[in-house]
Amino acid sequence: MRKISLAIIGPHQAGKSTFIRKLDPSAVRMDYEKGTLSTTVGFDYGIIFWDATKNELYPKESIENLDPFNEIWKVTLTGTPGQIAFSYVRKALVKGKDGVIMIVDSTQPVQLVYALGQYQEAREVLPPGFPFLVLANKQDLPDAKPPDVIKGLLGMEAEVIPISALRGDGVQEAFIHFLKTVRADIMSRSIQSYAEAKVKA
Amino acid sequence: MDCMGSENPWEALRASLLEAGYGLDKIDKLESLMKKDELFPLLEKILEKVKKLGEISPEVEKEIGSGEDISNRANLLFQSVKGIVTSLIGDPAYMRPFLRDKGKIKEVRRILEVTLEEVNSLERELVTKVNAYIREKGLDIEELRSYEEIPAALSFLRILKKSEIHKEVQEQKVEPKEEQRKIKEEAISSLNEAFEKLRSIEEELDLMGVRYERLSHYLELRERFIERLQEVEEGILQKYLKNITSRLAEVENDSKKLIQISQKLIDLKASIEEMKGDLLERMEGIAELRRFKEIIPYIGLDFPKIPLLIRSRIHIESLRREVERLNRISSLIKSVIDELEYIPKDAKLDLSKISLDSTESFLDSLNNCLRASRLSYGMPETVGYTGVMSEILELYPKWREKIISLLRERGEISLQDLKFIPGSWRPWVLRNLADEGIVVVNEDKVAMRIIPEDMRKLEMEIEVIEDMVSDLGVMLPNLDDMGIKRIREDFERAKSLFMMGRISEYRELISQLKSRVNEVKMQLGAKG
Repeated sequence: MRKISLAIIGPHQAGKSTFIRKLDPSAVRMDYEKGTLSTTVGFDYGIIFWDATKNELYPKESIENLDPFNEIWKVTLTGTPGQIAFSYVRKALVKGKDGVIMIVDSTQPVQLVYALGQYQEAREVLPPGFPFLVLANKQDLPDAKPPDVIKGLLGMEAEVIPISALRGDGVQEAFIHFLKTVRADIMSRSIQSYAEAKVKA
Repeated sequence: MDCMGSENPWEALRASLLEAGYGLDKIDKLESLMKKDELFPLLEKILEKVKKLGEISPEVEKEIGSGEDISNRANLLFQSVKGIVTSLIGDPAYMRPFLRDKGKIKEVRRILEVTLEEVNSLERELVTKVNAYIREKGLDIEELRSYEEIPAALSFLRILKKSEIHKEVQEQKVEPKEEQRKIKEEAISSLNEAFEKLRSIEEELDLMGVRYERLSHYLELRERFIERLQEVEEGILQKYLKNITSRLAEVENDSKKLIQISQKLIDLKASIEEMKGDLLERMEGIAELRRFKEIIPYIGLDFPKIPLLIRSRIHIESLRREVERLNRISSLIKSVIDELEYIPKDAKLDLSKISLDSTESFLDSLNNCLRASRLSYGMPETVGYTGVMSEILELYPKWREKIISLLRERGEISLQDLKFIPGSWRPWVLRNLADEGIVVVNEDKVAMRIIPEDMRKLEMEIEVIEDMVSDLGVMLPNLDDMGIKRIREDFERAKSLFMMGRISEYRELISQLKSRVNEVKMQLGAKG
């Protein structure tokens, strides 16, 4: 089975855990002890299966429902700690991932500065042009800014999709949409490296 | 005709197949396959009718001096049917169950149906000839009703000859009266008019290079018809005239249809010529295709020609097939031109892969070579330029589906079966399928990866654990790395046990593994 590894970044309290748990209700919650200090930092780790042939998502508990002859991708979701102080932990978790989803709180535009900082961290450890998606969360709240405003405030050429992780609105659709982009990126890189190897041979 | 000597014409055909070296088993198999495909009743009907025609037409020839042509045509039809049967028995695409081509069965059925229609037409022609002869002898048409069938008409002919009635009829001939002469003149004039129409149609067909033998045949009989018209009795004059004019109208109608088909054919040929020009022009642009110029004439050589001789309906049918074939060629040329639009000018073409068997196969393989050449062109620098990336991404799911369906059908396939994938991309596609855990590639053989259901589920769970360890291992200092490696090793051992058929040991190990996997899952779920 082929695998897609995604990192979920975003400021503290943006809704990363809710998003991961919406997709994988039995996601694992990890608490990491930071060195000799007693401070702990938590993050989530979820796994979900994507049937690219049928374009459907399956939780890991329903492995038996998968059609083995369809194009199945195992998708791992690694949430990162949102606090500013855990930059090195985030970089370690983001490194090697196939794509990054950044979740922002649409009601807290001030936090977008932290979000941009985390995006910069991801750029440092991932190859240029890595698949990236911004989810403007908490759209169910009355003071939520619309996605085009969020996009303007971020000032970056990224796709911004509105969701409500709590209610589940738009979560699966946005996620599948992103999986297609990541799949195309993985396949393209595979084509490119195969072609390069062939030329060298 | 070979089938005439035997009571059962199929038995006669069987004998000729035996003589040709086909074994009895094979002939029986052919018979049963043809019965299964509902071709056999058609074949039997044709053979019966051809046999009957073969027996009767010489007798008609003996009696009235007309019938030799029908006999020859019936013989040709028999030879054609024999050819079809011989081609079927020698064709693996028909005789081997897993190669059977439904398109071929359909085509053979169509040929047999057309042949049967032609045999029926010959029968009708023979009856008409006999009846016309009897009418000529001055008998009322009402009296001939019971002689519409050939054997009955023949018996009547014999009686007629024995009693020498026709002589008496001839002796009874009297000079036509003035009024009768007038009526006859009018009849002759209307007949001439009908013949003139046919003459101008023949000229029109001639300009198109088409000769319709049935039409020519009637035109040759013009004088004879008019002579007979002068001889017939007043009582049957109108009936005789009506009979001839209706036959002429039928020929006129068929000829007009033929003109339409021929016009379509000529238009099509013109547009193909135009496209050929376009094709050659574009090929000129490809520097590496210089050698290709030597092959180009083949495109023209095998191009269908408008048949110069159209004898009957079976030939019109073949003309129709020719039009269909031209349509196919036309669309193939279009696809080659489209492909040339996208291929880089200095791309290389593998000429050894081009087939010259026929225009279709040539154009088809040219198209495939161009496509393959485009897909493999100067990798990787031009991957983006040639659009190969999006092409492969778009085609991969289709290739994947096709490979899986072939494997489901046959269990194992060879690399040669993957002709639908450009050669240079086959290893990449197979590697992807192997990564997905669907196929196992061994040298040039590709097989489906067989794994029992419970093992598959367990393997997925182990993979999930391995992923978690690989993703989170750094964060889990207490996790027993070695323990997880041992789980994977034991899983591989379980697979070997299964393959060796040691099922009870396999089950025991799988059950152990399940509980170990659950333990690790608990460990991973616990706080670190």
